[in-house]
Amino acid sequence: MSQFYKTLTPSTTLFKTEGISTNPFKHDLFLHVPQIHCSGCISTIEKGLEKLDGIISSRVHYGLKRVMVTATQEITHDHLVLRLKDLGFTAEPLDMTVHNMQRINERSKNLLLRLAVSGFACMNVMLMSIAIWSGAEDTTRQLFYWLSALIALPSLAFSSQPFFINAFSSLKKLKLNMDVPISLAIFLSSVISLYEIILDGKHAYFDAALTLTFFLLCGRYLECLTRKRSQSAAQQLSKMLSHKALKYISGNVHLVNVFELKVGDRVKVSSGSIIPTDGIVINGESETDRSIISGENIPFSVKSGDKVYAGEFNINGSLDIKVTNSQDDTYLQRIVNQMSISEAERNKYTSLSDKAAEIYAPGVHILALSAFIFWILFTLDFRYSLNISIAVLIITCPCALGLAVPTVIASTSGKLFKKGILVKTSTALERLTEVDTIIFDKTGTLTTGKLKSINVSEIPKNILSLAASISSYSLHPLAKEITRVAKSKGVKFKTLDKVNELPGKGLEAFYEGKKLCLGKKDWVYPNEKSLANNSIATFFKIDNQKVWEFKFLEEIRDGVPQMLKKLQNLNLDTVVLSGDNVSSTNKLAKSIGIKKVRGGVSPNYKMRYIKYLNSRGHKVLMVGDGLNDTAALSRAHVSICPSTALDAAKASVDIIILNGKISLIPTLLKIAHTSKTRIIQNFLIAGIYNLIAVPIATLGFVTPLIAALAMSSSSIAVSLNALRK
Amino acid sequence: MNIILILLPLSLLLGAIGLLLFYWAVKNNQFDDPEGNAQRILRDDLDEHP
Repeated sequence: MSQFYKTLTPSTTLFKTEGISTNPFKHDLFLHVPQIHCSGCISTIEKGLEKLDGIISSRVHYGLKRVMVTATQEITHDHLVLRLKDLGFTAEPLDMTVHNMQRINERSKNLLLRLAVSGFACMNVMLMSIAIWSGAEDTTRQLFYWLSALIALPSLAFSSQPFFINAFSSLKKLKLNMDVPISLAIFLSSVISLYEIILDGKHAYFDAALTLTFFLLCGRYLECLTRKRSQSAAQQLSKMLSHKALKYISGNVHLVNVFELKVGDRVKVSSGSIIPTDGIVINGESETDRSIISGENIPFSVKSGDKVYAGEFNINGSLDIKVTNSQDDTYLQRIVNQMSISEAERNKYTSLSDKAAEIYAPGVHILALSAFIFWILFTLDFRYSLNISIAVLIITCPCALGLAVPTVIASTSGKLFKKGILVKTSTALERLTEVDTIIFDKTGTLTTGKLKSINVSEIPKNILSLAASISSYSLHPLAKEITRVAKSKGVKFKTLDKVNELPGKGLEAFYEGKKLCLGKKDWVYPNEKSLANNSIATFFKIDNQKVWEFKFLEEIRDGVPQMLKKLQNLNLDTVVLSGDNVSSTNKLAKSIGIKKVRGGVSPNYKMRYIKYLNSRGHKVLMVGDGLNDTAALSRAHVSICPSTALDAAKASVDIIILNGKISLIPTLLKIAHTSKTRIIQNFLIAGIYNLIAVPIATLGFVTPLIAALAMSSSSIAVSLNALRK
Repeated sequence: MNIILILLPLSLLLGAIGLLLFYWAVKNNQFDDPEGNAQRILRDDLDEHP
């Protein structure tokens, strides 16, 4: 008994409640843990989490690589992520309040039931059909036919509902989709078969109608499973932006929801938290990390009168800001809006299966109709002609076509899921094969977004020890890196006096009466010009002795240079577009071997650049992670982001790569190409089968036996082709 | 041939029972995480009692 969903909410209310828990004292939290791969992991996670105070139960969903935890209100995602880190797993919080997930869940269950009913009916009717084909006559045949009808009609009415509903809604829009000929074939064949057996006729197609439904439902179910797997992990990776703000109300600070803020309100942002809204600093001084928004690595100094944006991370000073934009007009929100416009444009993409349906659906109707007209003119026998046109409809019904795409997509995305790649949209792989240009963002995509110290070994241990001791007091990324390196070298930390962080300048402190300074060049070393180069660095001095320079480089993700080489060998154009300043972007691009570079660009420029390439007929793959990439991501032909990306980016991409393994892109391209070949092969198999079967059916040689056999064999051939390694 | 009149309803009945059981199983999330359940059965410490 799977308790996974059992504990979600009290039994029957599972899909009714929008939120998760109805009990005020406990709530349910979901985490995505991609590393789960054996029964040992299940045990470690469940037992390990349950030892934590406040956790009532935990349940691993192995197939979806997800953990659900029921806990008391005090427990948050952060506690769980930390605990899982101790246990050796990296976890990402999932926001399950979006009920899309539950809808897919419901749908897949629903389809499974319909599949079971049609499978059951199909087998029983087939057994009776075998008796008829092997020569049952007169009353026996009639008995079997009536029994078949008794089983087939209600089960068809139940299990083929999805097709009828789809066909109906498409007809309402005056369009033909694949479901129209399917519904017509199922409906007509069962009605005509009923009419036939009332008239004591020899041919009934109940078995064919049921096998058709069964195979098509298999395809639909596979499609649904694929979507369930990828969306569950991809869609609701939790929010980066702060949803609460500290607002001044008559002199006191109150915690309010961000959407309650109005223009002119005063908000307090303490150090170490995310700025909740766009605004102007009216009091205080600090540095903010804007990398998630603009891609710039080095923190900005802000002081009274400067503009700050929602999503920035406030590093070292407390700020009071005045709200300047209403919540639906923040910089972030405008980017999101821009994104939805681009998205609407991209939805025009017609997939291979849509293209096939466009030709196929009317073709089937015309064929069946012309067979009917031909035979009625030729024989003047209405019943006989109707029978032949039904046979044509059943034979041509896109059974194999209905399976051709979903089986391939399901097996491919399953393969990719195991490698840590989540395919969110079903046509993404197909679009990926058309790509000729790849645009990379820099910070957070090609690099990890962290800075790596490069010259620590040149600095004497006693100096490093003091520098690390002072840097451990700050949240500034450069200071954090110094602390980290020093720790890894086993340096002893000293106790310092009067540590003071001066936003925009650096840190000062006293050690045994000597003054230590760590920070910007013009503050630590105001009169020196010789060190003015472009590298990222911070400076350290003790009293007025020698000044030490700590140099840093952006940390490039594993395997990135090799990946770029592979991509260039595939004749793909690689480009770097970054919001970071020109010199550091150029430097990085040079070090990894990309020639086309542009630094210091605005989000809008990135989008227009892609638009320009599109207009020149190029198909662009965009790889990015920040807020400044989202508009570009949704404008590109295909888009990829690492799972560390901002929410808005994750929402707009087609493919998410977990664990930052950006270097998997060539593998991904290769798999996409294989999958496309498989889809085309499947269409060919289905096409050849039709080419042989349709003339036979039109000429009136198809008995129910041949119809059933031909249809099943083509479906099985197509599925096997999709599943082979 | 009369035996058919007994065997047919009987086989249909058995089939229908199977279908009902399947319906019950789907509704009770038995098919929620088949891979996970296959892993769980291998370990004693994950032994679950209803």
